[in-house]
Amino acid sequence: MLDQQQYESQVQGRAEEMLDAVAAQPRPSAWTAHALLARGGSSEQVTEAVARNLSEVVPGAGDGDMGGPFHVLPAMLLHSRWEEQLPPEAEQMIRDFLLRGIIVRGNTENHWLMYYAGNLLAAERWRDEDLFWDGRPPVAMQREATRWILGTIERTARIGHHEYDSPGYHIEHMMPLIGLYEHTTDEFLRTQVERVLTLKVADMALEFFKGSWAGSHSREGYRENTWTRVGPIRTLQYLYFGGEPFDADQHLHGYAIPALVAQYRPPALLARMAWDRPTPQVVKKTKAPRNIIRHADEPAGPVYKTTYMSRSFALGSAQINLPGTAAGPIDLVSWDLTWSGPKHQAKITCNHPFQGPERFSAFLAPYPQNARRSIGGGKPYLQSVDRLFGASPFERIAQHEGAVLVTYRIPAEDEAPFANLFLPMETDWVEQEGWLLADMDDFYVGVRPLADCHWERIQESRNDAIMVSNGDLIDGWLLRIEGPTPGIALEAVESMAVASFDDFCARRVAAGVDLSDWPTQGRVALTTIAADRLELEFDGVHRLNGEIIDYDAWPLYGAPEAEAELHTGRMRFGRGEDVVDVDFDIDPDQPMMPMRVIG
Amino acid sequence: MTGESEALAPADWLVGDVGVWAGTLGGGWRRHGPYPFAVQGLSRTATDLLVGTGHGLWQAPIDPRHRWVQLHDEILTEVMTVVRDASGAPVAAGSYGVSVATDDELGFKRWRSLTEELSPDERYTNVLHLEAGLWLAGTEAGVLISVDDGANWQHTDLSGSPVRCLTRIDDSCWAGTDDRGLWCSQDGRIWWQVDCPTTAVFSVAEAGSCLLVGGYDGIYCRDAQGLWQRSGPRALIRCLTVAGDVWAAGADPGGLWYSQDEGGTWRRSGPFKHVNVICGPMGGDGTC
Repeated sequence: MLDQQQYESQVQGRAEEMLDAVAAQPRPSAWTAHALLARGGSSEQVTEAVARNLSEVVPGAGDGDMGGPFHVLPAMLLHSRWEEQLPPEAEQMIRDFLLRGIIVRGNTENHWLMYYAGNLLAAERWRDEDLFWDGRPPVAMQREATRWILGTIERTARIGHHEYDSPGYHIEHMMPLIGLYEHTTDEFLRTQVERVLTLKVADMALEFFKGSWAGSHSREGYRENTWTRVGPIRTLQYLYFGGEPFDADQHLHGYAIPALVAQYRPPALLARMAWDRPTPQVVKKTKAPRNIIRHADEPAGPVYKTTYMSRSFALGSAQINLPGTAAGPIDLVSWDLTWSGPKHQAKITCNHPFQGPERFSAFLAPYPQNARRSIGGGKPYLQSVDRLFGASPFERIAQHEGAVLVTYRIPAEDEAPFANLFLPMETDWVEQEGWLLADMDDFYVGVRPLADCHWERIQESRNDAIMVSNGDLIDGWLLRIEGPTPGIALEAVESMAVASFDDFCARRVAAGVDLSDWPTQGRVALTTIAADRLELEFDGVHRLNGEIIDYDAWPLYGAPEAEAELHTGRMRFGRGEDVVDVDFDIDPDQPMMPMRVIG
Repeated sequence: MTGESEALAPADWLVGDVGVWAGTLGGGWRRHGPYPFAVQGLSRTATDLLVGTGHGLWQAPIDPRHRWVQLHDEILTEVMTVVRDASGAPVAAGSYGVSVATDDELGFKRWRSLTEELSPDERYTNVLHLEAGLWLAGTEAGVLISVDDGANWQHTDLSGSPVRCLTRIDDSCWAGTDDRGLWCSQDGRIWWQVDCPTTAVFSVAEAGSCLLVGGYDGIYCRDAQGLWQRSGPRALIRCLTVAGDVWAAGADPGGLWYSQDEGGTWRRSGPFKHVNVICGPMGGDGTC
């Protein structure tokens, strides 16, 4: 067992290696200037980095002094860590920005956390000034920020993280929390921050799969969910979990660089949990609802996650519980199968590319008549009918270990009445009685579209202004499954669980999918090769071997090395003697702070 | 643009777009302070200006050289509309409902939602209308009414459709809906649908004997004989304001337009692209 001291020494070694690499990079940013300062880089470069950060134009009319979460947080992380070493010009720019600038909160949970963390550090630092940038004395912001941060920590401890398990945005939760842990003068806040950091790293560890973050994600970037390694969280995955050689291309992202110079270290057992799973395991998590601000006559329900972490693959899905027919969070990924392999070659996922403009106005202020153009204009890929990410209000999923049913009932008037299934292109697929079967060496997989489908090629690129010649964003097969009731059944099993690939194919095809009530009665059932029967009733119950799957009983965390009940604020991670207990000291009878952002 | 340091004058029109702009419809415009927030609601007095924005609620001094003061806290988010109650205190509404504030021991505003327990559609408030003993909220679920200063809310006859505008004209209240046209009420509780050539009504105003309606595709004018005529740009007309013989229309997108010949001719004014709110000069009709 790795003890904490050994573990911290390993983390420090990785941090030093990473800092060396970052310090050698050209054109530092306010996020990466930490490496310059740690390595004695030039003060001119540091000043330039701060100037670039704070003079960045935020949409609004070219006002140089206006910034947001991505300005206030890196500025204050830099100032708080290196005030004594900062060039005077850089220090003055940051001070002026916080005392005389204009700063906006943004509109997602990570925005607010960065905004409030940065502002809190600034309000503490300049507490004796008469006025803060917002026209009030600094103590007003200090109180406001503290209330919101403590409130959102409490929500996370009681009902789960709202902007859950996002390879893209988890870093934007980790960095403000690490900054607060390092620098706040409020000891109670620091204590709660350390506790919630344990949860956030545990979230990373429980679904860490050989460099990937398996399972459903509240947000997984735009056109990145066919990748195996996604998002800036890779930097913290490597820093805290190690387990593979350092690769600057994979393991460095600017947003995470302040963590390399921080003192914060997670519990060592979380690194062990990330890599060491002696047996396949089911990870259950409850996450907070995807808050909808309109187009719904009832609030969204909790998100119930299931992720099966096997030896050679991971299959994860979630009950998203969106109310109504309008909301479809634009970068949510509800399920995927992931394994170890190159980009585009180790993921299977499908979705309904829901086009309704209300998916924007359910979360943001523009009227539905304007929302599609005002939001989709800036992100045109959100309008693509080939989209492979994003939620649909017409999707229902049931999962048991390595088997999943993904079904859709899409209204006839929908602009995209079909589902898109992504399959890797270098896989040798075998078609047999409607099943697409593949030998992945260590495991086998079978996918059965539930309606007619057609093979297409999908290739999308960042450099698409004139001609797409390289699918650096997406490159694979797109199977368009016809609506209005498309779907898939999928099962993956370890190769050692069956005699051979041929045996897998024969047994998988023979076990079959019961479509006798699909789509007429809205029921579909999948029998696994282990003879478990998974049944999905659209907008009804899900059953495993005849027993109703009770999502109401889902724990906050449930896994061989994670246990926590909802609303208690208490968690245990680890096994045997090697455990970490977390207790947020919460009174469950007290009301929670209302959640005021999406994310 | 004219001088950015010029104080607000009673004769100024105010426009909420990216920031608050002051000026005259046929003349120049100046931004009131360097605050490029998306402005959605304004409430003006002789001594200050409350500005409801996508980034909370702010108090703007008359002199733009002075800093705006943040009035929101962590509970109050996007503000779609801001009005003042009988005491002059701000009542703000937006994506998380209707909220009122009290001061903490240091004098900073702490906001309390009056509609926290309602459903998302009932809570999301586009527009507020306050009178003594009668608060009306135009929500995504219809018009909600409160007769106890917001403590309790009930549905009205006008339910099941997003309400985009609410205004009192003489002894009647008028409401515009997203998909069911124009509605009228005497008491705010019982509503009836009024014949109107557009199903999407985002703004309503009175212009002498005419009723003006802003739709998705332009401005509709109903004359004293009840005949409707469309005029102006074929744009989503989010706000309409009439001051004397000047009609002003804010299009989102499409900018600011005005007419001085009862809708015969409309001219675009200023640098605006998304006009959410227009205040006429103080002391007359159309102020806010």
